Amino acid sequence: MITHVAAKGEDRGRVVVKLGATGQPSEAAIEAAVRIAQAFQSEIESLFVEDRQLLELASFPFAREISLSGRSSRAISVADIERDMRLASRRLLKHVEEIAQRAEVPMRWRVVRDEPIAALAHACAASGPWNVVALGEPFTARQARALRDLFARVLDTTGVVVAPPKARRPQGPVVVAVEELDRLSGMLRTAERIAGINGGEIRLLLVASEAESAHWMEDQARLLLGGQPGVVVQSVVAMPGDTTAIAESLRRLAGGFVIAPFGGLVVPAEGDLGPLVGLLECPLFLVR
Amino acid sequence: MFFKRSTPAAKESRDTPAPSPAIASTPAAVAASTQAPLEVDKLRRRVDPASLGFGSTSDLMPATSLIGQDRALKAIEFGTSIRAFDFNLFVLGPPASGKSTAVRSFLERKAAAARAPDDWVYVNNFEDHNKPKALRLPAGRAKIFARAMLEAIDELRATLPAAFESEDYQVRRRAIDEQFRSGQEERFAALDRKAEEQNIAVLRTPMGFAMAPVVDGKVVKPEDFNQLPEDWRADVQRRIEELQKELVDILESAPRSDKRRRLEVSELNEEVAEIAIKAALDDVRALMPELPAVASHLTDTERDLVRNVALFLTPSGEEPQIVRQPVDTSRDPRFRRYMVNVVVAQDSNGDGKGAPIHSEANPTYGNLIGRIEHIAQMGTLVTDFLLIKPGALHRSNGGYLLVDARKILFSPFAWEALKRAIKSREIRVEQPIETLGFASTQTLDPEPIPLDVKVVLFGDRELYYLLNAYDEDFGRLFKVQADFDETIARSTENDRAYAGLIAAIVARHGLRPVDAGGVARIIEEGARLAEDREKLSIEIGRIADIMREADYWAGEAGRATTTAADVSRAVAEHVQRADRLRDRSQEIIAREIVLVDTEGAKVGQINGLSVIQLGDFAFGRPSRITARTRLGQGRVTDIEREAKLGGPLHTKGVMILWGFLAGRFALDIPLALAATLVFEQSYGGVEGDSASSAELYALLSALADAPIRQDLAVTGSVNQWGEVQAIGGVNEKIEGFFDVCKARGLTGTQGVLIPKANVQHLMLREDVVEAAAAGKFAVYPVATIDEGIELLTGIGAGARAADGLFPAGTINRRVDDCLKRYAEQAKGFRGAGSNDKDAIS
Repeated sequence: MITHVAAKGEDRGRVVVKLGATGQPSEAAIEAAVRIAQAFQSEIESLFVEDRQLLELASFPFAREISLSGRSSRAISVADIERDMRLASRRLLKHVEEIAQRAEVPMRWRVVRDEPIAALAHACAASGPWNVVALGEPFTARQARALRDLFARVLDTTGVVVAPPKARRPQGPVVVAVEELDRLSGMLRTAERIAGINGGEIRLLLVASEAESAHWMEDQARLLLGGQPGVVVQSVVAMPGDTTAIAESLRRLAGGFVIAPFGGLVVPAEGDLGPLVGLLECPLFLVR
Repeated sequence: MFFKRSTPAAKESRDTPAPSPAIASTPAAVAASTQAPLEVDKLRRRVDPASLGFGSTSDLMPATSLIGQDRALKAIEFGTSIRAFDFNLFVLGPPASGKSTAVRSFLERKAAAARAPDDWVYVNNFEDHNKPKALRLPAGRAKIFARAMLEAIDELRATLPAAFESEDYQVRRRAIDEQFRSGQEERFAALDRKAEEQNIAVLRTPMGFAMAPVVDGKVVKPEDFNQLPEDWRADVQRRIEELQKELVDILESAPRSDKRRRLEVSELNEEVAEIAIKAALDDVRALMPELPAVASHLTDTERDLVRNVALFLTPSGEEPQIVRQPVDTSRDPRFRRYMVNVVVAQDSNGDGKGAPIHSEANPTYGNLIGRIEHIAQMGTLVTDFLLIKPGALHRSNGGYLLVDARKILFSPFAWEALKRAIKSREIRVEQPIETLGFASTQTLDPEPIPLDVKVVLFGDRELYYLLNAYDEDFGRLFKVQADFDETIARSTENDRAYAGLIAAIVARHGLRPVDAGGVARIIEEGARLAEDREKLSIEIGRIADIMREADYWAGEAGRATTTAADVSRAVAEHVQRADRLRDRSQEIIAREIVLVDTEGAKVGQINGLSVIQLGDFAFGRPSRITARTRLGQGRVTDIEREAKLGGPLHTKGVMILWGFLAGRFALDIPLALAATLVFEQSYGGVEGDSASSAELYALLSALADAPIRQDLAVTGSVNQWGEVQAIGGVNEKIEGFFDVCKARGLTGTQGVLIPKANVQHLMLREDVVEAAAAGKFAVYPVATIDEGIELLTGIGAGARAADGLFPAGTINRRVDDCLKRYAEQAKGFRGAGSNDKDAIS
């Protein structure tokens, strides 16, 4: 949605904030979602997904829940899980509502019982196609597969916002990680609108797998940015599948918000997202 | 039984014309011996300006020390030289006697040669913040130390964030984080994989984790699961239980891992911080390497800085939002614990000013001992070691503390605190409320600072003796008294020294030079202030006041030099400003509202003299004293006492005159006398015995029926032997009667009888002296009652002859006869007359 809306100059769209069973909200992710909604005059839809699989799990007579500290465990029933999810949904939805109200962003909410990706796909399809999905819980490297599934199965979304565990509230420069020059202008326009809300500057990170390509891209980018002398431009060479160098570069740029393509060198669809997730201290807006 | 009373005719006969000084009408046998008035030069001791030997004070070297105070100066020398904590000084003497200036001037010379005391600072006690540490530093180093600490912290504010943002630190920090993160995640990932291989999923629930069998990544529906064979289901359950145990292991190990991570991060932080902190504090160490206490404090500071390095890595809450500029380090509450509170500091240039001399003008508890201030924060009062404020004891430590004794006694808790500090030889700063055990809020208990001070208290004699009598600590702690005399003996040498003192006052106040005549006039005024022609007052304050006033009048007259006329005018103007009551007193006598006769003669009536003191101005006033007698039981009624207007000294005087009567007359008969004595028109209290001779004269006159000259006034006390004794205020008393006489016109017979012993005190006003020189007024010195009564009555007193009788016609014979007559008459009355009973009622 974002790049499209930004490219077309349209002012519409929706940010779907997915909340789930963990019950642990990511402030950074929710704030980022609200900022995007502000930037594009969109609305927030809070979607609490009661994971159907958990209810099925609770039906087993041997089902036990181990506490987060590992120090206690208990037998669980469907009723227990339903009650816990109900309490979590109330708390989380209220929390998001408060943040949206402060930002004067319209919000509606829904609670659905489904498998999470399917629930998102249905929600986005219901008012697509220009949706952004924000995962409202801290994003860890273990969720890489779920992220890949999301991009694969939720077709009516243009991007996904994730916030690593160390992410802070989105303040500061907007960093745009570009791997293909033809996407530069569209991503820059997106960055400009978000930066307009953030009050921050824009920093550009050009990512290539070879040094020559990186230099060429940097030259081209500087030509393109002739009218925007304030934009900081850097380039980095990264081997496919190795996100460490890119993660380090992004950290050094000290962004408050990173916009990057999904499925490329920055955020590979397959591979270890650990370094990226471990180092980044800001939300990540992944675009198709 | 009745009393024989004198007839009205007899009573009236007591009013008679005044006899001349040598009464011609009395028989030769009873005529009074001729009593000559004092020579004029005895009335005022003049100073011949030519004898001074200079033209004006410009020719003189100003006196640099007090004159005539050898005793006091020796005491000060001793008291300030002896190195003992309990040999403190009490300088006693009258106010404005220049003792404070003299002591200070003396101490300045002594202190200048002494070593400058050490500096003292308070620093934070990192072990116990409530007990700040006191550090001793060589003179002049405290401010350097404080500044160096401030600069070190300033430097750390820049270097520590830079060190923690450095690539080196970041890489090492990330390595630790990554090691922990990847370790945990790898174990989770391994568990995930293991579970997946066994078709089991690890799912996140709202409260934790749970496991379930899966097929194609989806949880098996329970109804499908139940279709599976029993042993399959049991096997799945067993595998889940095993995996759950592994999950518990992973989860339980997380805090331990995190603790290890934190430890490693902490060690890294300390390592990085230590380098920067050590570098910053080494600069401070280098400034004072020889001071172990400072080195120890710096070690503690270093340890605390390392432990609290995060203080330097977060912005202050006080940083302004508009201008992002760091708050000044000295004002940043985060860094207060590293600052230095300079309590006592000498000049940092190291040349030293010697031992300190500190005068505390307002010796309250806090000003003396120091105080712990508080600041309001979020509605509560908080304090720290930087809010310890030094007191006078800190400032004078190693030197001298000068305090007014009366002021310190009037300040709550201050006196006890001073004594406590001297006794314990340490300055312990605490709230007064703490000393009473009533402190209810948390406060500080700063380490005491050793005290080595010589305390000099200033006060008057009364205060000194009161403290000695009622405060047992006082004598133990203030063992040296420096007693300043009010006066010095007059001599040619001292007159010249006095001139030097006058020159010093001229120099100190920037006055015009005083010519020799002016100096002579001031010296004379000094003698008058001393109330003694043989003494000079060294009441420096009063002398300086006269000189400054004279200087003003000299200026008004357009003179470049202050002359005797200016000094006289200054004295006269000063009196004129203060003598409203004297004028009023003279006026009511002149208008005969208060009855005082200044001519003629009357039986049983005499002019007594009293002095009224109003601030620093005193004046004399005549009062009529009357006596009446009759047959009685041997009692003299002191009406002043009966009316509760007479003070104890006055009563004593009356008792003495009764003793005189009883001892001289009626030796072998009962004293069957009743007499009353009164100060006429006295509406206030009467105190002192200076009128006792006058009362006796009046009584003798009444008994002898001999009229007393009203053109004379009398002062002097009397003893039981009839000797006239010295009194105070003789000049004012003579002048008081002179003024009354002068207002009515001087007759040439008027004068005052004074005790012979008071002749040496005479420093009468110029106009009185001039009148005496012109023969219009006289001063008669008398040594005995007999001399006095002869002067007053013109009748000889008479001495008891071998036959036990006084010569016929003499005053004493007439009194004796009268008393015998009373005794004869009393025979007819039972119980009349007894020498053994209380003679005074």
